[in-house]
Amino acid sequence: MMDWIDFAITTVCIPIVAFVVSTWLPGIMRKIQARIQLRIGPPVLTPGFWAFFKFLYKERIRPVSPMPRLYHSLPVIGIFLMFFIILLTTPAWETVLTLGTLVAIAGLMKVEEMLYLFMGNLSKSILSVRMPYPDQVKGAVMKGKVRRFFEQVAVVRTFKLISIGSFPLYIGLFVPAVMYGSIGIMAVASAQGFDPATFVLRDLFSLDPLIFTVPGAIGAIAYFAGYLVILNEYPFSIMHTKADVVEGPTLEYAAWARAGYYLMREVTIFVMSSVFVTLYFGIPPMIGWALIPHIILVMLLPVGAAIVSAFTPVLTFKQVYPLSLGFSALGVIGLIVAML
Amino acid sequence: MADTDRKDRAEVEVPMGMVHSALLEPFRIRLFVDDEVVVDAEITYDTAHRGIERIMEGMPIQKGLILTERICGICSHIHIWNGTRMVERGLGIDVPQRAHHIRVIGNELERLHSHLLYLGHAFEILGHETFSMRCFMVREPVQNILFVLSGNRVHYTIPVLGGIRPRADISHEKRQTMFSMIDKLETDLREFAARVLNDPFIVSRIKEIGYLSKEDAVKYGALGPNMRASGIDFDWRYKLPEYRDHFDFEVIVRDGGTVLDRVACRVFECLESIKIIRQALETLPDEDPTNVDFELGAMGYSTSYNEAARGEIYDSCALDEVGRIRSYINRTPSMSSLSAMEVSCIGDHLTDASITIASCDPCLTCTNRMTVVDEKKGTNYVMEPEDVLRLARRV
Repeated sequence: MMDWIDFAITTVCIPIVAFVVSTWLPGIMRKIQARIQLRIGPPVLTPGFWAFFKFLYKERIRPVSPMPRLYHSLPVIGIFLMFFIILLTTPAWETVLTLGTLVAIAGLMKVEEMLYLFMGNLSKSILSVRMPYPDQVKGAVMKGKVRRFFEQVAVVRTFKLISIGSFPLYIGLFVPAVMYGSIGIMAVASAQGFDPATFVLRDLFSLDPLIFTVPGAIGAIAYFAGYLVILNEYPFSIMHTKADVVEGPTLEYAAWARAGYYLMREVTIFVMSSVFVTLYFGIPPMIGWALIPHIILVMLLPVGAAIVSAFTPVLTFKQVYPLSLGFSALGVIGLIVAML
Repeated sequence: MADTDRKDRAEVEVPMGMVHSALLEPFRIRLFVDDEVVVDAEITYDTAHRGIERIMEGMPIQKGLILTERICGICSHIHIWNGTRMVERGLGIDVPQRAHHIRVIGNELERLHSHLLYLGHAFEILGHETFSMRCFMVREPVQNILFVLSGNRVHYTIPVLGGIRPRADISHEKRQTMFSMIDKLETDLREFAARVLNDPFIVSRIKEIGYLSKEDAVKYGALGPNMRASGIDFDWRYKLPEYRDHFDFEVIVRDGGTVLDRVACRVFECLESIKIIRQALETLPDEDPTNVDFELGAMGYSTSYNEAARGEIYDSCALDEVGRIRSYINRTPSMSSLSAMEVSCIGDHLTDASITIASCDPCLTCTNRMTVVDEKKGTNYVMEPEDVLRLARRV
C-alpha cells in the first residue's frame, strides 16, 4: 500500500519539480553565455519561466500546416515523454512498475527525436517556398522540380542527427549498464551505493559514483556530446541554424504552441541531465533528501552546454560526422574499459 | 562528376529571402541542391530602390553631395568623398593637403568599422555569438574615434567642395586623443584577429568553402577585398595621389579565394588602415584645410573612382551653368561582387552557402531597383524612377 502511495506522490510531484526547475535552466544558460560574452544577459527567469507564460497568453495563431492539430500536439507529446522518462528513473516507479530500464529510456528518447521529423513535415512557413516572388517567370533559372521548404531541409538534417549525431548519447547511456551488468536503472544506482529506503544527505559521501571511474569519465564525455546533439545546442544546432533554415521544424509554432515547445525544450534539458545524474552519480530523482543533491547536480550538464555553446559556431555535417564518430569511438572505448 | 552533370541533376530548389534572418540586406537566393550540396545558384536583388540618382537630378551640387552620403549608413564617407572628388576634378578645384589627409583618415576609419561590422555579421551567420559580440566591442572604439573626428558616429559629412568642414578639422588635442584611442584599438584588434584566425572551429567552418578562382573573380567582376582574396593585386588606393604619394601601406592579397581568405584579407586590411591613419595623423600638414577660392558653374561629364571598404566605387555627373546636377551616376561594388558569389557558392553545403554569399559583404541599399509583384493580377514589373516619383507625389 505504501508503495502505491509513494508511486502516486512521485507521479504528481516529480513532473512538477521538473517543470519548476526546468524553467530556470534556459535563463541560467543564457546568463552564463552572456557573461562569457561580457554582457549582463537577461534576468534568469525571463527566457524560461516568463517566456513560457508570455507565449501562453499571446493571441492564438493557426499554423500553416496540413495538420495543424497534430502539429500543435507534438510539443505536448514531447513534454509527456520527458515526464515519463524521468518517472521511469524514480525508485517509486521501479518498485511498482519495474519499467525503469536503459532500453526504455533509449526508446523514448528516439521517439522524442522523431517528433522533430513530424514537426518539420507538418510546417509550411512563409519564409521559403511560400514567399511571393516572381522566381519562375520567363528568364529565371528553371531547374528544381521540387521546391523545398526550410522545414523539410531541417527534417533531413534531423534524420541525419538521429542516425549519427546522437549516437554518443546512447553509448554513454549504456556504459553504466556494461559496468554494472544490468540495464535496470535502480540496479545501476544501487551499484553505486544508493539505497532509496535509507538515504540521507550524509550518505552522499559514502556513494561510489561511476563518473569518478575511468569508463565512467569516458562515458560521461560521450553522453555530454550526445546531450548537446539531443538539445540541438551549439555546435550541433544545424537542424535550426539561423544561417539557412532559421528555426527549422519549429518555425510555425506561435503563441501557446511556442510556449509548449519552450517547455518541451526546457524539460528535455532537465530530464536528460537528470538521467545523467542518476546513471553517473547514482542519485535518482525521488521525493526525499536525495532530490536536493540531484537537482544541484542536474545543473552540471546545462552549465557545461552553455559554456561549450558560447565558444563554438554551428557545425555543418562536414564537421558533425567526424566529431560524432570521434565521440562514439570514445564511448566505445568506455564500454570496452567498463567490460574489463 | 563534371559540373554540368551535377547542375543537370539539381532537382531540389531551396529559395531563401527576400526576408531571412541571415540576410541583413533584401536579396533573394535560389539554391539548387543535390542532397545539401549547392550545384547551382541564382541571386536576385532590386527590391529597395530609393531613386537617389533620380532625386539628385537638378539639385544643387552641394545638396546632392550630402544626399550621396545617405546612400549608405556604413560607407557614407566614401560616397560623399568620391562625389566631392569628382566635382573637384571636373572644376579643377585645388584641395589643401591637410584636407586630403583628413579625408583619408575618415575613409580608413570607415573601412575599419565596415570590416569589423562584416566580421561581426559573419560570426553571427556562423552561429558564433561570442565572437560576434566581441567583434562589435572591438568596433565600438572606431565609432568613438569617428565621433571625436567629426562629431558623428554614422554620417560624418567630412568633405566639402574644396576641403573639409571646420568641425572635422583636427586640433592638437584631438590628434592626441585619436592617437591614444588608435593605440588601444590596435592592441585589441591584434588580439582579436589572432584569436579568430587561430580558432580551430571557426577556421574549420570557413576554410575550403566559397572558392572563387582568379579567372572567375575577373569574369564576374568581384571587387575590393573579394577580388584581392582571389589573388588579384589591385587597389584604387595605389592609384589615387591622395594615398599613393603620402602613405606607406601594403595591399593585402591572398591566393586562396575561399571564405577564409576573404575574412583574413579584411582582418589584415584593418591593420593596414590603422597604419595609414597613424601616418596621416603624424604627417598632418599645418595649413588651412579648406580652399574657398573657386566658382561653381558648368562642368562637363566628370568621373571619379575610389576604394571603398567593399571595393571600387564610381561616381559621375555633369553640372549645368548654375551648378545643378545632371545625370548623376553612382555605382557601388556590391552589384558585381554579389554576382560573383553565384559561382562561388557552388559546391558548398547549404549552410556554408549563406556564409559564402555574405562573405562578399553585400550592401544592397546602394544598388537596388524595385520589382513589384501583384498577387491578385498575377503580374510583376520592374519599378522605374518615374513610378517611384509618382508614388511619392501621391503620398
